[in-house]
Amino acid sequence: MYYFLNDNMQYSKSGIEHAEINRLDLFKKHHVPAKIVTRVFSMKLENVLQQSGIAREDFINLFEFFCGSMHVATKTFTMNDLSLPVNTTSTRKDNQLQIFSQGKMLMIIYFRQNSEEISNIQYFDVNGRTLKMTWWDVRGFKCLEQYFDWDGKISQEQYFGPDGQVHIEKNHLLDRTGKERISWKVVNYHQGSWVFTGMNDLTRFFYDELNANGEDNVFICDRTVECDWGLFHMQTPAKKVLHLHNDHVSDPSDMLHSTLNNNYTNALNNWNKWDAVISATPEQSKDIEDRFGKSIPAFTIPVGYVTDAEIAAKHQDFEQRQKGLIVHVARLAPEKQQNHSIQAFAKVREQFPNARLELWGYANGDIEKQLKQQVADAGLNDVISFKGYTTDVNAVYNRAQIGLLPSRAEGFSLMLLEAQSHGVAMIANDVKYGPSDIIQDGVSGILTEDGKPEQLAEAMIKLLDDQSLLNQYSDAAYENAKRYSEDTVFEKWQRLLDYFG
Amino acid sequence: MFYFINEYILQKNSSVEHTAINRVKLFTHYKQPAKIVTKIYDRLLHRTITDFSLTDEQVINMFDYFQEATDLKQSVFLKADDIHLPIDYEISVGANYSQVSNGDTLVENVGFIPGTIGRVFYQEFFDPQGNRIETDLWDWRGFKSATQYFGQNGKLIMQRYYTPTGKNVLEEYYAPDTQGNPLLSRVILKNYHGEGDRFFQNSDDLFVFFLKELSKQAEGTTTFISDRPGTGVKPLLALDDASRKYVYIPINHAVNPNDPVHADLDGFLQPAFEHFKHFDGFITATVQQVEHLSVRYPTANIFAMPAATTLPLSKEADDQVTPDQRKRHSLLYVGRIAQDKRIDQLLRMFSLVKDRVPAATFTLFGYGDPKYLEDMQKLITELNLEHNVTLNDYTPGIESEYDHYQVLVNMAFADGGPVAMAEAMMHGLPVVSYRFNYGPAEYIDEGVNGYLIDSGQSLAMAEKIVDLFNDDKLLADFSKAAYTSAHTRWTRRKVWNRWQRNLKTSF
Repeated sequence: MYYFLNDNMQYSKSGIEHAEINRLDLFKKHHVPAKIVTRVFSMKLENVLQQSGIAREDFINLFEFFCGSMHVATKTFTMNDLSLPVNTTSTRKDNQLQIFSQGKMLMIIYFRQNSEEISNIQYFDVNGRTLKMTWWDVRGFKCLEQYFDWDGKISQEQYFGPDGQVHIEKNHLLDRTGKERISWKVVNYHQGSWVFTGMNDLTRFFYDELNANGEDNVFICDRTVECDWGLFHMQTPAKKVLHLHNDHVSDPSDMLHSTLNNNYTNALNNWNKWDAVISATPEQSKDIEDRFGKSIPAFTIPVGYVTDAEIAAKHQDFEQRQKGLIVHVARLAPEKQQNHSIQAFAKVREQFPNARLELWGYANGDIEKQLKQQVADAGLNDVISFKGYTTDVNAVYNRAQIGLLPSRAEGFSLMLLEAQSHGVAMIANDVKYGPSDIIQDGVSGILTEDGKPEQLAEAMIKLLDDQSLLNQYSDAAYENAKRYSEDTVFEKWQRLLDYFG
Repeated sequence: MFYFINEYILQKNSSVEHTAINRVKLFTHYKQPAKIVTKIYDRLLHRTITDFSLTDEQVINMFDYFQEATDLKQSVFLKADDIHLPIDYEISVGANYSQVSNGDTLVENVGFIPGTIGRVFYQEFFDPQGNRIETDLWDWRGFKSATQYFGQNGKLIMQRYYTPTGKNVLEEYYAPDTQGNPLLSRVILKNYHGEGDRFFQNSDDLFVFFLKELSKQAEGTTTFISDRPGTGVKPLLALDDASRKYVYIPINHAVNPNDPVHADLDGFLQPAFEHFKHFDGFITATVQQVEHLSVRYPTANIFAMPAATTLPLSKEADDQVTPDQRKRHSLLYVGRIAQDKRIDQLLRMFSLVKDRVPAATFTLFGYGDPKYLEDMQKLITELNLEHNVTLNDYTPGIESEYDHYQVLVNMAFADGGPVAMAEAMMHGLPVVSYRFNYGPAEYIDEGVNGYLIDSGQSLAMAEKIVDLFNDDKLLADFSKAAYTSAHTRWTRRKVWNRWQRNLKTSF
């Protein structure tokens, strides 16, 4: 079995989640058993998986694993399923139903947004003290209880399975300095109980249990900070593969000596614990070998591909694209440098008043505020728009004439490949890694230097100035994307699969 | 079905429990279904009852009921090897508990039931800081019965109870009381009989619900007899159904025992008499107490029933143990070792006996407060009685001790009717006792099978005892008389007939 190790799966996905889903689809198509594995608890996981198009049998979550809730048929949980005690009165307030017994609050029932489904129930004692908060999974079974101690602190959380039993406990007890120090207990699993010193220790146990399936398993670690401790400390033997999703150093001007990227420091310092390393571009594989040697094989495998269906699909008519529409599709984050796009677009707009810039992507932190301020200050509010996250990014590419990717660094840039496969001419910084591999400079796109937004502006003006040139670039982009067909990419996976036999 | 409402059955019991135990055995003998009901959580109950020759069918505990563990066919001797401790952990075996570690970190202690070798009692889990996370409590019969959960300050916040198959049935939530100790502030009974969760404020409310359910489920008429007023009166007052309800009065009912007609009633009995029409009757151990209570409540149904029974003499003619077959000049006391039983005065009185009969012995059986016991030991030494007086602990097997001693003595201030006094007479011991309400005047035929001494006259008591010790024929006559009166008045058949008449129930 191939396990793809991640921390969480949410509605908004980063490049790592997209890479895993692409990989899963490819493995499935070629009948290679694989599963995405996550550690973080979610009561809404069922909905997330549906939205993500991930089948239940291809996914394992730590909490669902121990609670036995991987395959549960959805049923409703409304007031019709809850029998209120006799001799109580109730009052409805927005999405709450308050239940009173002998004039004292007994419990509060909370409903999901715009729904009659019950989300959680809060219980009180005779003195009005909260005893516990009980939560229901979206599939309609009780999945979590939180207990409040005498000081009103949640001292323990218990995770339940559909069998009504506790299977995991999260203890919020204190260390000697009075700070909370989380520990975990697995209960009613193989009739025994274990206590774990923290999430890493629990993860380690989880991975060993996944490994106990009687097969020789390969664990591909897609998120090192969260997953590698557990992976390194497994007590049973398994194959461990480091999958890089970003530049592994912080200063690309000195690949051999500069400080390692924080996210990969521990993983790369423990180089000898890996059985293989995967990079998405040949350039990164070479940099890795130069710095760390060849004691383990470095595989080069793109994290994305163009499906056969997409290659066969009818190309968008160039005339149908919105004239002058430029898109920047990426997480709003400092390293993606949307500020350079905005700066460059200001110049473009002077020459092409009908040009528009759309920024697509979800934001972490207060970067959105900063960028919006920049747009306002430049007086570009009516020509630059923040569109947020979309699951239908293909529709965006089909409308656009030009795409921007002025990132400081990339691991591969799925976005580049997707855009090209939809005939979008791309202007991107020639940084590690990806752009120079994916774009054919001067043919399907234009490479620029990082930190020089004037080059971005130049490239945009060049293309917008000559619509027939732009059309050529668009056709070339479609052609270029074929280099990353499913079969081509799977061939690269096959080498790894053969290596692990 | 008969239910005798009690708080508990302990390893050391008072007359309240002994009366209930005797009664349930009597009813069982005559094939009348009856059970002692106990209220408190006790996961060693099913071991304790074997000390008193009770079977699981004769007892029903509230927690066993909700935990669906009232009649477990199998009782398993569970050891640490049987509870699936992970193989990754090392076990360091101890006598009272074993430690289970993960390398350098203690994960849990597995504790054993006292008096057993390695029979699992609890599993106490710790986080890496040594904080107690939770403790699993195991039942004597070998299943995980409950789990206690602790807050950040180490105090109990919740206790959850399971069926033997591990289903969660009950949760108790605790808040701090004024002393900072856990006080029950909410009980949640989970989906009992599929009827949704029920909420109670405390275990008293839960107990009322429990009795209602017992009443509903028994075939035919249910009759409750409350043995312990503090446990049974309030719930029976809250029960408004067709069941029959009796209150047994195990004590002198008056706050001042010497003013039984006018003094205030004991706090737990007061509400019962205030609403006496709610009850089908009140039961005492002696006729004298019935008389006093009837003065206060002339229209209430009050009757007396002996607390112990025995077989008729004819069946045991050869079993009479004559005084010369017993320890010579031996005095016996059976009962609580406590201030209100005036043990110190008994010892001083015995000292007077010993002056006249140097080889006399005094043996006491009973449990008491450790401090008081210590004080009594000191007094024994002070009075130079170490070689004559033996202070023994309570023993469940007291029945077999009576035959070794010659005379029973009692100086209590008050009592409902000392069970030990009746039992002693059944075993041929004449009784020398202070008059107190209630018992001695009813049990003892003055000058025939014992002596009644006015309260405070310890010298007189000593003299009567010396008389018995120094006159073998007198002692033998008294002994025979004790046998005869006990085995005439308190035979099983006689007492059973009286129950039937008094309860006016067709059996």
